[in-house]
Amino acid sequence: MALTYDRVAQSRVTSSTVSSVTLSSISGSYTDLMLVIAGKSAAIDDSSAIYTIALNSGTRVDWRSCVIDSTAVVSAANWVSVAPNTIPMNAASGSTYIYFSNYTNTNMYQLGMGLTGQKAPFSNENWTGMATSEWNTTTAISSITITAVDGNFTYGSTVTLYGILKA
Amino acid sequence: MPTATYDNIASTTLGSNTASVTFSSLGSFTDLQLVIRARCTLTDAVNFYPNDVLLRFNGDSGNNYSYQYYSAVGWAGLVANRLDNQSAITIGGGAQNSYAAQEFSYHDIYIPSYRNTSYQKVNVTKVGHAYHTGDARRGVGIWVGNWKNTAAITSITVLPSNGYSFTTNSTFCLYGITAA
Repeated sequence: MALTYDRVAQSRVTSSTVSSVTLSSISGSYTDLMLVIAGKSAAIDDSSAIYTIALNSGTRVDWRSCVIDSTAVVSAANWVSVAPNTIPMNAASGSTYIYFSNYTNTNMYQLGMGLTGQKAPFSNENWTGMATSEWNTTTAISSITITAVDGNFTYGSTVTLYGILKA
Repeated sequence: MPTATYDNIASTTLGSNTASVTFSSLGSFTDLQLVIRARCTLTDAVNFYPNDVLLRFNGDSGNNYSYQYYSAVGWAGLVANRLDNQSAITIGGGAQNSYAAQEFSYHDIYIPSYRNTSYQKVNVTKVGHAYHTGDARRGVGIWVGNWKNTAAITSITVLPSNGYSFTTNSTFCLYGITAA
């Protein structure tokens, strides 16, 4: 019997010099994909502790986003990733999941819906947010690259991709 | 032995512009999930506002629905509202015909306990779209709807507001979720 959630790929950062993680050879046999990021960026400035997500070897300027967060900030800037811009801070840990629905549909742009949150040392830095992002490609997703824009991932950060089969 | 959680009840990709989509064979699951990528025939190349997408149950078009939402939209910032006695549940703004041809909004609707006749029906929708060439027209939000009826849901109808249609290639996927 087919499993609904299948762990397609997982990468655990085992050094302090990894700035990006690529999950490749993603099968097109699932209905949806879910990307889960748990960990930290090594950036020392919370405003630069950003993840960007590139699909199929695209660049970080290939997408657009809209973000709402717990400080009531709304952003439609081009640079905002689905992992919004204070996740995770240097001294905090955070998690993000991004859901790609019908990722093999070639009639429409790829779109991801993300939820994210962090627990920080100071309560005013706790954070939660929701984002939608769209990538300027109609090609089925076969690889995903997650980049810590300003700084590396910290040791132990984990990126996991699930294939979700709705048969 | 694990039980498959998600069953695909029905899926459709529109081959032509269509005024509404109805699912009428819902099976006997615990919950339902309806996933939509929508684009509406509204053409507004001046303001580029999206066109709302609506939901009805069991063919009821009376003022028997309420819904509330909070949403981030590029042209207005954070917005929230509650509306009662509506003729349908709004499940967020849909992409429209002035957007890039590959632009389809995303609506992920969860309907728990749709066969339970002890209480009125509620649905929760996550919505997003990111219109490419107009930053101000992007949006993301949560919409919660209520149908003031305790009847089991036996059909679901989705339609654009203001009499518009869904365009070719809009997709509608209904899943049954078994909580064994």
